[in-house]
Amino acid sequence: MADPKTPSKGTRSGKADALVMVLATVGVAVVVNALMTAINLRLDLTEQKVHTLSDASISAAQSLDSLVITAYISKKLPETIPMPGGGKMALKGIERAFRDKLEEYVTASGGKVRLVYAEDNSPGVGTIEEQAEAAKVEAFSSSEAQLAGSELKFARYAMGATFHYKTVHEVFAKALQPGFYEFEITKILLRLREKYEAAQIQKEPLAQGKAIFEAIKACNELVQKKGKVEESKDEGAAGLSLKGTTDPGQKRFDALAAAKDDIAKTCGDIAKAASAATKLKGKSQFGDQLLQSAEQYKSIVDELGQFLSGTAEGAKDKPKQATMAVAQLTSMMDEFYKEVDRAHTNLTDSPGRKVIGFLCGHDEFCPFAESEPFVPEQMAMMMGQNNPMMKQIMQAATQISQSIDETNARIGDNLFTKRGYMIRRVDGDEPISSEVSALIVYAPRKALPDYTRYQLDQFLLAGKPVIAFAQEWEVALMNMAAPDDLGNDVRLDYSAMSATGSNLQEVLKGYGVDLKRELTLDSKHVETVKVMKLVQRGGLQFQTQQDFPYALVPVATKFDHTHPLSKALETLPVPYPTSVEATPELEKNKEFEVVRVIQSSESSVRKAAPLPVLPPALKEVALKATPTGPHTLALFVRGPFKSQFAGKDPPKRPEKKQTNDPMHPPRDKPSEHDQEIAKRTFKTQGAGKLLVVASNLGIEGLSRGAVLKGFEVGKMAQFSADTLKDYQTWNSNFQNWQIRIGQVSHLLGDNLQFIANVMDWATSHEALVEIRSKGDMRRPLRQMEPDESKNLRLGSLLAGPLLLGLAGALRMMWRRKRNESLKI
Amino acid sequence: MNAVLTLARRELAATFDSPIAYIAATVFLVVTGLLFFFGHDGSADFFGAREATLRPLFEYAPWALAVILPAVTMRLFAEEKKSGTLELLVTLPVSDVQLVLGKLLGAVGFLVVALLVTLVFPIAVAMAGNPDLGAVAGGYLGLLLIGTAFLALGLLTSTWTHNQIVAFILGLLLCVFFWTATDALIKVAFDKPPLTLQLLSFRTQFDDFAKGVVDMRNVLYFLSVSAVAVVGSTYSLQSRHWK
Repeated sequence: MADPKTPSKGTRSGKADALVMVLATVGVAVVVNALMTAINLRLDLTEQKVHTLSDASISAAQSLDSLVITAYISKKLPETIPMPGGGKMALKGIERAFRDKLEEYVTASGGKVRLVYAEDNSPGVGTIEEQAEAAKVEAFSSSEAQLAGSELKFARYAMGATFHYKTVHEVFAKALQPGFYEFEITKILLRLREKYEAAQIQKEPLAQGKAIFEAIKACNELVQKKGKVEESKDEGAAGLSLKGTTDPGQKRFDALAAAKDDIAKTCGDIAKAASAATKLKGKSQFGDQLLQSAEQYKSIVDELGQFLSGTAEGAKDKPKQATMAVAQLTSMMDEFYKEVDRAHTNLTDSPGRKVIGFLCGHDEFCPFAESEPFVPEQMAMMMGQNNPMMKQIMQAATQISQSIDETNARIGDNLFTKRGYMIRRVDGDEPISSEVSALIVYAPRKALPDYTRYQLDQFLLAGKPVIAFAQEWEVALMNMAAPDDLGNDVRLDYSAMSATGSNLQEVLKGYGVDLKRELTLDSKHVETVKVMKLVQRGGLQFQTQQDFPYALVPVATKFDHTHPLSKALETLPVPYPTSVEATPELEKNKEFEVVRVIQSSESSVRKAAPLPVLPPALKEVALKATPTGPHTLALFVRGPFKSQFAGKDPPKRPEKKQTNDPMHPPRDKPSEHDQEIAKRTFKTQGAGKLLVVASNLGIEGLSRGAVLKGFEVGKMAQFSADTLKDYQTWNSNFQNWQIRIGQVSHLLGDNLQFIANVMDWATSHEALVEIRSKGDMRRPLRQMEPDESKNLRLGSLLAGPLLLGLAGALRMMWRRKRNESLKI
Repeated sequence: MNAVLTLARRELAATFDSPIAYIAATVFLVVTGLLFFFGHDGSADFFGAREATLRPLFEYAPWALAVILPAVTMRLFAEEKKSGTLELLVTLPVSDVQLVLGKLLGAVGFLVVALLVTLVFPIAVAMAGNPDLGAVAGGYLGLLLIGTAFLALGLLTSTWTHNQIVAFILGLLLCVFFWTATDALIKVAFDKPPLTLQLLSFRTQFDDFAKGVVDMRNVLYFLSVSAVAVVGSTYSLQSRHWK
């Protein structure tokens, strides 16, 4: 820089010098900043290193040689996008965050990972958004519509990546949550490795599955093409056979009949591929599913062939019906092709994926639709024939049952399947498949029968993790009351506490785990429940919601930071918990590892139920009790468990109910799965892992048994006034489930994260647990009385200005004193 | 360097001899405090949101700094020019650049004091919960850097005029422009703005600090803006020789 003390020789040259210097400084600054954009040098000051790749992520990146990541990032992203439940999600800075994170992985891999950004409008590949959609990266739109030609369209955006490793690939479909980038990417990297390794072992079945899929694809494309193309052609242009035909159905029939030899030849490959698929059959659920879909597809093709060649029964006599049948069959083929595609995708995606089983059938949380129909259709029709009232009730009950199934299936899909977990229903009256890697027993409210307990016992002793969530009490807080005998109508004021019929306490006792029946309350560290209230205003009744701190929703504050599940936890709200301890014998046994994963605060207390349910009364109970906390709310035990069935005859498998379901016909001979089960030997002892959580974490099971309590087909046949009352009770039960979930819905985010962590831990992805927790590191405030928070706020707002005022006054006094001394 | 520090000390003392410093710091505290406790997104206030985080403070404090700091820098040269003390000042055995740096460091001293007083907020949050202190430290470092850049810009406008009010308004416009208007202008000017241009925004550069991440690119950016403003101020001062 020129020395400003040296006068410039002339005004003009001085100005020019200054201008040059300022411009040069700006230029240097721009160049240095531009160069630095390529260097990702960051210091993460957060306590848990939330923004730094963990060791597990680094080693995952280093383990995949020649991994190619293709990032699809729209050039101009909107500022916000609408969220499904209302509200908007800000996308500010998201692009840079995603690029930075991907580049961090590239750097961490030491040159093993290559990152490519999809370029806009490269010749023949289309826009970034089009390329993204072709690569199965999920497109999303903003709330601003744009004019495209004559129509208004929402612009589509992409923010995701595909990961290709040798012969396998995975997709990060929508990268909109920077907090979870590391979790999602590392999960994909770990999955790629597992998938590739497992795919090497399953090369043959996968190749056979692919051959079946390719054969069906070729057949379907040919049939759909022939049917469609001829339909769109002008009359007469399709050849001699179509001249004079105007009916599109007839046209399709004629065109397909003309191509019947081609179709027979192409579609004939399906049978060849299916019969050659010896390595696929009975090996996995997905292989069997693909074969089953292929079989169904083939039977439709065969039927089509019969109609086209005129060999089908009545085809020649009734040409109109034959035309309609062909139209129907081609459309069915297309539908079944989608099924085959899905089954094939599941098969190719299955290698290395671990299956988590959910025990069902005891009114527990079971995120699947029931496998058995509620009431066989014919029976339902017969029952309503003479009594329209009963017909209506039957329809309503069936509707409730359908809603339950749909809700459960949706929960399973949204909470687990869409997040990449492979979950499977485990029926207690059947042996547990060897494909299941971990078993979740989620808050059963009915006793587990002996055979189920036996299955669970052997599963645990086989060394596979069993996770039990307990729900010993049902808490109905301002629920819908069923109509009573006094003729009172349904009301929203029913509060009660009742014991569930669970025998989990007895089951766990056999493994040295003491599940307490007393409820755990807290007076200080609690979360709120949202309670619906009916308010009278101006003669009208309104429904409102109010938050109440609830002693039965203690916030756990003590965690074992050596266990992967609780390593990064700071707090966790645990609705309606009891508590769990190791028995003194287990505690003394050095062969067992016992970890108190989650504990309530020191101000918590254990109280025998039932207790008052309404918040103020319950608070009184909690306040009056002398604190006895902390109490263990989640306990982990690992060690050589002994079978509860040692020295006893194993319980017999219950007889399978006969169903008329054509999709699940009874088997003539035992399947390979049955044969595998028959070979299993009884284990008297085995190293197992057991995690017991003394709460349902606010997720109550929705089951037919619990909602449609007392439903019996026989009872329904004798219609009476009680039937009507029963119907109202079922309706209330269903609504009460929604009310109870709604009361703790604000806590479900944290609790679902914990459940996801449990599932990752159970499938040996412990590193993911820690990484996920980093992305969702909530640090809630402790429970404070309104006065305390008011004082804290007032204090901190006044403290600063007071401090400044005091400093100013002191300085003024000091200056005055100094000035006075100078005067003297 | 000694000369710069001496000047900075003198400037800091002069700042705190004037009531403006106390008023500016108090206004900063009250505004950020109110916004921190009551200005949360949605309906919940700080205690309603129930999260032990200082993120809202780091969201609003740069706004307050963009308004308050030009009020502190407006007098630095404009007042000296108006009262004629600048001529006296330049007779000191220091270069113009030392003079500018000394004044800037003095103003940074004020910024540090103002930020130190806001530590009552992290203390309050720590009493109510368990905030991530690393993230808090990152946020404060970001505030110091962005504040320094605002001060440098304010200093630059103070060298342009004799009038403190004009210097304040120009400084305010420049700070607000860099804090938020760059985003809007770039979007108006470009259909698909390049990433490098988006990075001109102070807000974009500040986001990482608020999360507890010190990215050297962000640090360099704020230092670059401050450096360019210091050079600009130096040559603006030198312009007195051109008449």
